[in-house]
Amino acid sequence: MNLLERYLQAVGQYLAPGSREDVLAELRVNLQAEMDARAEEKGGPLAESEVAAILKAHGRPMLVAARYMPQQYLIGPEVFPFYVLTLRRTAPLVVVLYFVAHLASFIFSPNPGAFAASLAKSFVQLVPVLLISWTAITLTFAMIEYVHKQHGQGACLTEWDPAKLSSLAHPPKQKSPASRIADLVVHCLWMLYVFAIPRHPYLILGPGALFLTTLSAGFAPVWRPFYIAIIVLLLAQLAIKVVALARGKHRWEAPLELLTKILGVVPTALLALTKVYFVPTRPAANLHTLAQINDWMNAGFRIVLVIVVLNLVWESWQYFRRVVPTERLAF
Amino acid sequence: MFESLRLELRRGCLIVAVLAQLRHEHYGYTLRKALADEGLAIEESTLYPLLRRLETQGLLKSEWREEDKRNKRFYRLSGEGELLLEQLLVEWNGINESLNKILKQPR
Repeated sequence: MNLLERYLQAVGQYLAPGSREDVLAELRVNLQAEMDARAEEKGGPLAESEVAAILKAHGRPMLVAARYMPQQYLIGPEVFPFYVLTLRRTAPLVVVLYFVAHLASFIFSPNPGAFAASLAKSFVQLVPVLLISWTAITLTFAMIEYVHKQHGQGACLTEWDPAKLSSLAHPPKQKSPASRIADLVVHCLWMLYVFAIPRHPYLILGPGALFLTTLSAGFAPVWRPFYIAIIVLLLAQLAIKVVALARGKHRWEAPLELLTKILGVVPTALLALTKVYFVPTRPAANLHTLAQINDWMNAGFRIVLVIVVLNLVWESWQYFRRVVPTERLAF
Repeated sequence: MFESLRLELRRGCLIVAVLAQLRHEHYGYTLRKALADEGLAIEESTLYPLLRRLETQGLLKSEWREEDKRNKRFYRLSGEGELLLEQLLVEWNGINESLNKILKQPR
């Protein structure tokens, strides 16, 4: 019986003090009755291993004690769907707000190394920010659960009005062949325009081209790889559009478009990480003004990069929400 | 999959069975044995806390009494428990009839 007393002692450690003695007394009687019945079947006293087998079957002390405690949960089944929905809705919002708040540190980084370091640091710091937001939401919903449990079950959470349902969403229209042809023509015209820019800088700079001439300044070497990257991207997009026109809507069209958008970040990042866009072409050039122009352009490209990255994150999120089943996504 | 569905199915039935069996007085061990003899085995660690919960809900009443030189806690159905058991049995019979009708439908 020593083993039984040790078992009861172990169970008692996890029971509420108010009911401990009563529960243990009842448990002792029931377990003893069980052991007596087994001993009677056997025709003699039980060995310690047989007592141990009965106790083992009865359950681990901590779990047995837990079953005597009132059921406890932080967020109950009625509030839980609202909690999950809030987590799903707020996570992207927190990410966007976080990066907008860090915009200044990206834009005013002194050099490309510091910019990259600032970007990496921001991603690392995003983890605790997300954890804090989840904790805050969890605590808020735990409080809502408490209030919900204390005052009136269900009324406010289950109450709803069918008249307030949003109107039926129309599936996205498939592009007609005419629309695809128009799209292709516009893309070709756009490519012609881009091809013409190196010989006719005023096409992109407008009156600024004249200003560059008076400033005795020309394009810096960074524009060459940028230009090549743009041409490659435009050619890739042209190929996708031509194939789409020939074969109609295909399931690979959307992921390929997304991929080209991801690759499109590369030239923008190239410009954002560079500091010199225009260089003097004559010794008499106004270096101070040129330096100012370069600084402002750098700040502008960094803003563009952040916007492009955020837009890409949003579009990727929208794409994966469409194609990946909800239960396989984190939110 | 089967195991979790089986447990879910049993959970509600067990409460009805315990309430029905406690129309006659029992203490924990004999109740478990009586249910097992009728083909409804319940783990001790499930049954004993369930008895306390049902008592807290007012469906059972209990008293400590000496039997065979041992103090035992005997449970039996309370007035409220009897009323609830009747309602549950009506519900149970309704479900049973509907299920039988559904199962009799040609595939």
